[in-house]
Amino acid sequence: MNENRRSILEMLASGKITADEADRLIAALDRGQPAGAGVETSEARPKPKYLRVVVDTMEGHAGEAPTKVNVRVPMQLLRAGVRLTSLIPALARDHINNAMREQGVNFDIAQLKPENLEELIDQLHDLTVDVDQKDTQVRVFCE
Amino acid sequence: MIPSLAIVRIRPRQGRGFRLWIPLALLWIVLLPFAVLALPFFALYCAIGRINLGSALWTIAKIAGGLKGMHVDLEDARHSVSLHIA
Repeated sequence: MNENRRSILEMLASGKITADEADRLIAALDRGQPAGAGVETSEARPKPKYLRVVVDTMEGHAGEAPTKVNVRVPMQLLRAGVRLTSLIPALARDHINNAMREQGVNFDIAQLKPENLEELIDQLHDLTVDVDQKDTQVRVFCE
Repeated sequence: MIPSLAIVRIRPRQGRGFRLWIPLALLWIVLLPFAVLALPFFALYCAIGRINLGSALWTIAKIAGGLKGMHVDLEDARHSVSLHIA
């Protein structure tokens, strides 16, 4: 039992408030603090639906108005994009893997599965990438 | 669910712009015969590349479906262009 609830019950016991008033106060307390409030779990948070990329330039060329880009990509499209690796023929996949290995990336592209992306998307809630340059600002985040 | 409508808005900085409502449902119908014609070639590509045809078609369908909700805004000194797929 938390402190607020205890004090409401004490006020009721000492006759300072009526049973109806206590009931209303407890109900208001419950509305203000739903069960599990304060403990934010990943299950309670909705999954992000879109990946947003926002690019703002502070000033355009020759003093013109700035250029702005705002792209919203559905996560469904990213999920489907990962499946595209299954459309790469085995021979081409080997070439890709070899090229990546030569660049120091030891990764098998055939191992890239939609499940991997799900794990990544689950963690994207807390991610915001800000790139600030002298006259350009780039933001990448999920919503 | 595949997208059924694309809205393109082009607006100059000064003056009136215009908005195009493109019914993608009609576009899919127009493209369907071409897709049917291309299917044997695609099946051949899948056979040569040892790719599961069903899985490949499912992926393409998922990509088409995933486009729904896509939104792009581009604004420069002269124009503002916006594309929304619904």
